Amino acid sequence: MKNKAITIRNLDFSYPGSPFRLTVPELDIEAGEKVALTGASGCGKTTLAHLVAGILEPASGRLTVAGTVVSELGDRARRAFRSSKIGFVFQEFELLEYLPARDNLLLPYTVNRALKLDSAARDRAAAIAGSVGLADKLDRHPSRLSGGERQRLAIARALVTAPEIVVADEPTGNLDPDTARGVVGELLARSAGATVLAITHDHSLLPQFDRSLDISRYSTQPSPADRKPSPES
Amino acid sequence: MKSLLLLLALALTAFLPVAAATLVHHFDDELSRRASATPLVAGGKGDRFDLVLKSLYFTGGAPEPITMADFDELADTGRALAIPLHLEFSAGGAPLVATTPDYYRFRKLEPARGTLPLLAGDVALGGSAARRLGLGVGDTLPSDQVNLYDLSATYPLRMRVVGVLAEAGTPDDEAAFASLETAWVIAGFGHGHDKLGADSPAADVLGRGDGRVTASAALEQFIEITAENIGDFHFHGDRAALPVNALIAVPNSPKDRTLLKGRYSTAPDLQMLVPGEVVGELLGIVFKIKRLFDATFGLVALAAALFLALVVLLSLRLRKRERETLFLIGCSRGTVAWMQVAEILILAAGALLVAAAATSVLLWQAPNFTRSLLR
Repeated sequence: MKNKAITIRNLDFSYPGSPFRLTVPELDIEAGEKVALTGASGCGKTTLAHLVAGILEPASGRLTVAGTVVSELGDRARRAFRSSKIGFVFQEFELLEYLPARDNLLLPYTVNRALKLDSAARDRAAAIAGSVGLADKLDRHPSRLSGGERQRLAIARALVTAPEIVVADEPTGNLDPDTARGVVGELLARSAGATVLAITHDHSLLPQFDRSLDISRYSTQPSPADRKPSPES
Repeated sequence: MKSLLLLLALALTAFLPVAAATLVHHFDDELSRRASATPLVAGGKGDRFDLVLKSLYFTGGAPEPITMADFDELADTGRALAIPLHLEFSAGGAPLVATTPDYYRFRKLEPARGTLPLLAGDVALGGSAARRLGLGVGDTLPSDQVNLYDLSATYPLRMRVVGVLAEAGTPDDEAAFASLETAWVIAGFGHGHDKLGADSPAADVLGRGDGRVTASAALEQFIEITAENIGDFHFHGDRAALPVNALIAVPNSPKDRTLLKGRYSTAPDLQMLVPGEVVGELLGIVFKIKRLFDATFGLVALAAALFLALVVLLSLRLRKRERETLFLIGCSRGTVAWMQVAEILILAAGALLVAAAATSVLLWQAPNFTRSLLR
């Protein structure tokens, strides 16, 4: 029997003052599984991903991610959990233009005291940069990288802390179909050992995943998080 | 680049009021010190600011001329030491102050090198002027041509630099000093040439008669007063009619000061001024303008603060996704906020550093700058 990367039991969540409600009675995702989260806009895809990542706190229920019962953690512990266990890939990559590629790659270490930027971390960063073909471009700023290189840098940043879960929030949202397939292929290939939750509206990409989950069945109203590209929690 | 522009704009906003205050302070100090050190100034009737500024600070040009008869009259009262000033000319761009040795004693000017200019044709340079001109004792300095296109004008006089005065931190440092006779020679009231006699070339003689020989314009005049030709220099006309531009009066007592002021208050062609009062009046105007500037700077600072707030707000909006990214990858919201506050603080600190550096340069150069304003 494979290990469970994500286990959800009787999870209930709602935004204050909003009729939206996400209720997940039972959901298991196995370690290393590549899962596409689908569903109509506002159905709760991003909300579920943020719950898994410890950004949002459920009202009730039990949520276990990478062996940690996230639903029982306080704010600080959830942030530490997120730093060490979760890697994020964003729709528009969200690279910091004023930092060179190297600093973008090491950003999780720079902004988070829970992560230690030691020689092992640097070696790992160098190895990842090499594996995505950016080893000789780490001194360049993102504006001097091609679209593909930016995309690979964003994926490398998500993987640099060796996360057990990779959350990709519509990483292909603005891309043409061929490029979108390439990005998903790249993401899945680079995050080989990690569990991937990728939010997507593009059904043509679903064959690349192990399975897809339609989140619409868990929610009752459109989620404010799914209507906003960058929800503040 | 954007941050640099913002930093410079902030630095300028902080620097301008400081610069204005510093310059006004130095201007006040520079003017007041000299004015309070000069008890009375007499000169031709006219603009009192003009007379005081030109005779105390050598601000360019000369006050309306009076005559040596006026000097004699003041000296003859016995109520004050009278010091004449002739200010018509310049040499090497420095105002040529022609005066008597009393001036040096009164202003406590001592030669750092060489001697004071005691003979016609001698010149002593203020310390700054000597440095600027690169001249020292033994060099020569021609007086500046007054009117390049006036063919009948006298030639510049080549003067010997006999001394360099110790710097006093006053307008005297920027000036060149000579005797009254030197100035009158430059003005054409005196000149030197070979003696005319029976054996003089006919071209040099305009006419002869009554035992007098009248020289023609062809007679070559000396352009330098030397030990050899100083005896051939002479003045035509009455000494009492020779011009000066101002008189410094150093009264013997407060009573003499009051009496002199009273005496000259009714003089038809002369005025006797207390420089401290005139400068005080001038500074009153300057301070009124400064208050206007202060109010303007206040508004500019307010506008700059509002612009900064706008820039910060726009920046916060533009960088909302960046903050969200930092939060999602593990940075606490407090740390994200602190990072942005730190950016603003670094910007403000950088601006203050630049403003402080500019102020240091200004403080260093302020005396020179205020003096240059007075020239």
